[in-house]
Amino acid sequence: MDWTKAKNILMIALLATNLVIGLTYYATIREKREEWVIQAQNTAAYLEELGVPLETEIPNRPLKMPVLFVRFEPSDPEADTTPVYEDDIRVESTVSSVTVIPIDRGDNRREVVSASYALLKYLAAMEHQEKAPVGIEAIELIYLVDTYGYDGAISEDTAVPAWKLSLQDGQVFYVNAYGE
Amino acid sequence: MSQRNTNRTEHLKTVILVVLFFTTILLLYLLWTLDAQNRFHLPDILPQRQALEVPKAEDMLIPEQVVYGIGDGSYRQTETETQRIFEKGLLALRTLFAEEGASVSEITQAQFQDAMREYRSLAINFAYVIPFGELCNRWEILRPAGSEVIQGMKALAFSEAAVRSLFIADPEGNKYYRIYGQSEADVFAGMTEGMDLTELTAYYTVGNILGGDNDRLIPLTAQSELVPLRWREESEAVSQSVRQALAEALFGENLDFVRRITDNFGNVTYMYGYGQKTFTQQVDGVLEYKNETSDEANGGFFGDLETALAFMAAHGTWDGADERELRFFLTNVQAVSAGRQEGYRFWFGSKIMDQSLFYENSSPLQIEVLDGQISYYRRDLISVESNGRTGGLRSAQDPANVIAHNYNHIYNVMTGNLLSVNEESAFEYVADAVREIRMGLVRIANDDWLQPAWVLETTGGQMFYFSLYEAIPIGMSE
Repeated sequence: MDWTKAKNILMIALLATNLVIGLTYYATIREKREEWVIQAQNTAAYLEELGVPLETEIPNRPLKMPVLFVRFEPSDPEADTTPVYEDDIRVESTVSSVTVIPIDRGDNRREVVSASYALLKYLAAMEHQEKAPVGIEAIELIYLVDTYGYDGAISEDTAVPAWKLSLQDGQVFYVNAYGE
Repeated sequence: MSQRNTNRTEHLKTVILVVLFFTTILLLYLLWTLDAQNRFHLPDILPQRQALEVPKAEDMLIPEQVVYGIGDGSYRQTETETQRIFEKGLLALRTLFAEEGASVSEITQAQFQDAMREYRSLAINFAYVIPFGELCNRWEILRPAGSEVIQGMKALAFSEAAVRSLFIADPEGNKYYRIYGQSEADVFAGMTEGMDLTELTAYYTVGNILGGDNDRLIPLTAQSELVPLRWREESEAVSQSVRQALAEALFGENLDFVRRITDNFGNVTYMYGYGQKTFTQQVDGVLEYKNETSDEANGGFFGDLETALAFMAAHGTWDGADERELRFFLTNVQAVSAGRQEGYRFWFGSKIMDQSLFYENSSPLQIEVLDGQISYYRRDLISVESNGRTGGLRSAQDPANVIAHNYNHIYNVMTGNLLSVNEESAFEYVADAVREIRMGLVRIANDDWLQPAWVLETTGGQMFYFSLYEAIPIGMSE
């Protein structure tokens, strides 16, 4: 057997394979980014058309995030609450009387829905409630602990990625970033 | 020199090949992770080598007891080999139905009771009603025209009053039937031949022993070799594997993204959505699953039972049961509905080392099937540390004594009336309310030992537990 020839053929075959896989990988990422950018442009245009002021840029970079396991500690209602962060991502809870302490991240990551999706969800919710949408001041991806749906006293819970839309009237609107 | 250069080039090529190969794997992994949510886990991809052993639905239908009427007001009752006797009874039913001119006629409750009480008789009793049509289909028994009127069966009975007949009772629907053929074959003799009743415990009606009209049966005396058994929740290894298998199977690849909640007591709940699907692991080892089912076709009694058994087998319910000498059987069935969805809820009891095991307020396994899908499942299994026999029989308290010593307590609980009442009327009330009294091991809250007990069931389904040898109240169901 001519090993020199065999090695040459194998090298060429593997190079070609890597090239194809690499290009596919790059194309997929690029496609996803472009999709988010286009979605953001279209959503901004749609908001403008509706006359809903948008005072911030719509995030347009796709990313994957795991869930975040947290525990609750009673907080002093008189003390100033300092924001809690996990790797630069703010952690918030729907319960104001407790302090959220991050414990651990989930093992696996899932792609979050786009900020444009969150904005459209907000518009749909306003339409459903027959209210006029309020201008958007800020859009932020956070970890949210939503204790709704469980009646017992909770000591540990799960925070999921959520888009937080800060509205011009001071209200906030959360959208589950896993799209559930 | 040239040879050395060639060697160096070949080495370099080999290194490049290895690098390229690993680069291919890395690129493939990156491409795969773009869309996949989970990490690469080889055991998930390889086929499962162990085939699941799903118990047969038929094997779960075990008659609660077989009662032999002697015809003189006394009875003999057995709780062993009941399934074999039931199979024999079904054979007799098949033969009878196959006869030309086989007929079904509805009889009254009094006629049925007369046939059981006044003559030698044999009644195979279940704790629940089995849809009769489905039962016949399951055992491939061809039903003659006219037998469609029989909807449910709780007892299959035979009597010397009509030796060529067979009786079917559905006391809950107050329906009683007599099935008879044209042949001269003695069905009753066929069922009872070779039976040695002398070794069975004698039973009498509550009315005969305590006075009144209650025709439920209780033993006059009893002996037992039961002793207290130390119990514990099933081992951490079994429990952990079952919990993991259940959680993974119920939530699939979403398990890493469902909400995990720990309450202040340490109970862990996995929740999908806002409670469409929840799975709770309680600190006391109980596992509970709830699921919002969608509208599908109803599976029927046996279809739903098979769905339930397949679900429990697939999720490790019987893992380690053999080693623990645990045996499960169906103890209760209830037809349920939710909106347009219909199905059954099944309760499974267990025998541990051949001894009936009772839980003060629950049962080891409970599962509900709605429109062919599992909507509820609860698992609460235990292990015991030694066998429950001393080797010697002891006299247990007579059931009549148990009732006589405790009728005030039973009356107070049943009526909610804690004030003293006329003793005679309280006794009569209790004697009338007795539905069944059985012997077994009972798991009482906050007691690490399974206690030998008399288990008294009253009308309405409330259970009272009394120590077997002292007749002292040790617990009751809520």
